[in-house]
Amino acid sequence: MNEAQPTVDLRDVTVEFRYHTALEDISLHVHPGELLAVVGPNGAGKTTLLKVLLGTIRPTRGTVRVFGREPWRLGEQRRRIGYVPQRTTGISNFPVRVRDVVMMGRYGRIGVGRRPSPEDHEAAQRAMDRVGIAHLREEPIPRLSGGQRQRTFLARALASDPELLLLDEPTTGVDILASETFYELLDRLRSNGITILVVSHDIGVVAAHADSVACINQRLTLHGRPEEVKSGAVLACMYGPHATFLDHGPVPHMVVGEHVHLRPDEKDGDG
Amino acid sequence: MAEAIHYGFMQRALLAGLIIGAVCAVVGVYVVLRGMSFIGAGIAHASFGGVAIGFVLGVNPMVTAVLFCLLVAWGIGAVARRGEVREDTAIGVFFAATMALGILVIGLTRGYQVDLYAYLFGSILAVSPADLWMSVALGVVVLATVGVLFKELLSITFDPEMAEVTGLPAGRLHYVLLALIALTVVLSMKVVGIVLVSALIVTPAAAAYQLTEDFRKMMALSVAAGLFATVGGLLLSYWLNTGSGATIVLLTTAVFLVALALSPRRRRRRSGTPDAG
Repeated sequence: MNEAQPTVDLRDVTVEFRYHTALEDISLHVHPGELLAVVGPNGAGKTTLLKVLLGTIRPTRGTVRVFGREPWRLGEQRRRIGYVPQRTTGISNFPVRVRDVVMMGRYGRIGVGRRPSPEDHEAAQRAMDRVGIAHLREEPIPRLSGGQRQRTFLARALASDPELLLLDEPTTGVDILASETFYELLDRLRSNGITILVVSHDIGVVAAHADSVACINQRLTLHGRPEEVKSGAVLACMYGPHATFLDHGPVPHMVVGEHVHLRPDEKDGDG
Repeated sequence: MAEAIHYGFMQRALLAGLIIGAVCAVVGVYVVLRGMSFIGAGIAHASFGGVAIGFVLGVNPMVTAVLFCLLVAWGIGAVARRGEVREDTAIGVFFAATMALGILVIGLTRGYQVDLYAYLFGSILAVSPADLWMSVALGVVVLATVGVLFKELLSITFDPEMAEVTGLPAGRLHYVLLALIALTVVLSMKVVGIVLVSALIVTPAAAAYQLTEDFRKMMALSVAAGLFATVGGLLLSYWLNTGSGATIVLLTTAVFLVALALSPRRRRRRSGTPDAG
């Protein structure tokens, strides 16, 4: 698996905005069929990282390759990426049905000014079946629970038959049971060969399902197997005041600052 | 009722009213769902500058208003897109500036104040045959564009970021939507008035939003509310001898209040039942 060209390959990527640096010298890669969890505190640049991979933000320095090409030059190949954005508030009241939202995932493929073909309808139906929302197809978005809505957005991302899935905080505001179901769904998609990169600040759930974990706090502070990434070190990256002295490779021992309060369910990252 | 129809001006006003009611209601759905009400008001006020320039140049003010509104709508879009100025700030600046430009230009040319009043507040008598044709033409352009780009406009309204990621030209589609708003404002201003037109764009769609959770039904209900308000408002304005723009807008407001009272959305929120399923 590791000999193959990585699906996602970032080298020394730095993204600077007008007033601040969002990402600094990030190097990481995701191999085909892998599930990488990117964790980090709010404002750590996780969403920026996803936008770099989508090609909507260009790095100030460094190189990015998705399927071996620069993301903003992917053109038609962009369809190979499925994206589940962070939940936005306006959308939950929008008067539109589940099947319409799922079909939106194919709009780019269908082409401007054209209507969905029977083939498009089949693909949308397949995507709904895959995430278990076929029975909700006629349901309006405002009537869905948080978990159902997230699965709808996952189905939208799957509707274009992507090979790489990018998910931004997919289970924020979703209850624990629905969140667990959601990650089991991701497990299944990965075993079907889809490469997945999921961004989250919920280390507990994510680490239990990931092949590897990267912790980002502007810089990449950790990148390893979930069992290597001991909770103390991850927490240091998440909340620690001097997170940048951590580095790639073996996890250094470190004292977690006393302002960190753990909920019991977050203590074990490696489940 | 019957006698009203015999007057040429009333026939033209009613025909224009049908077009205005439908077009405002259709475009209004996107404006309401995308949260663009303030842009609508901004573009509407900008049309005053365009009308004034038309007067000065001796051209049909609707022609200059079309060009001017497109320019301002795209200007707001471009400034906001660069991200250095917030969109509502950009609107706030253009809104006042274009209005001021109109007043300045009008001040330089004497003698048109009476006509101007009709443009500002709408007049049942104001629709000339040329204006009617212009409204028909603009209305066809707007409705045809919505017809062709139906799924694209839905997509950028629902989630512009995703629209772009799935490969739609979201940026250009946003400019198309801004242009549709500009054309809608201009084709409506003779009957409804510059000051009131943004209400006719927003209110029927806002009423429809209260009544349904289906996008296509929302558009159909919005058109029904828009047509009822314009045709009903024009007839009332004829009988009561009141200003057409104000009568139409108050009628559509009444429709909105009824919809709000009947709203299943509101009842569900009130009773506290979260969601089905």
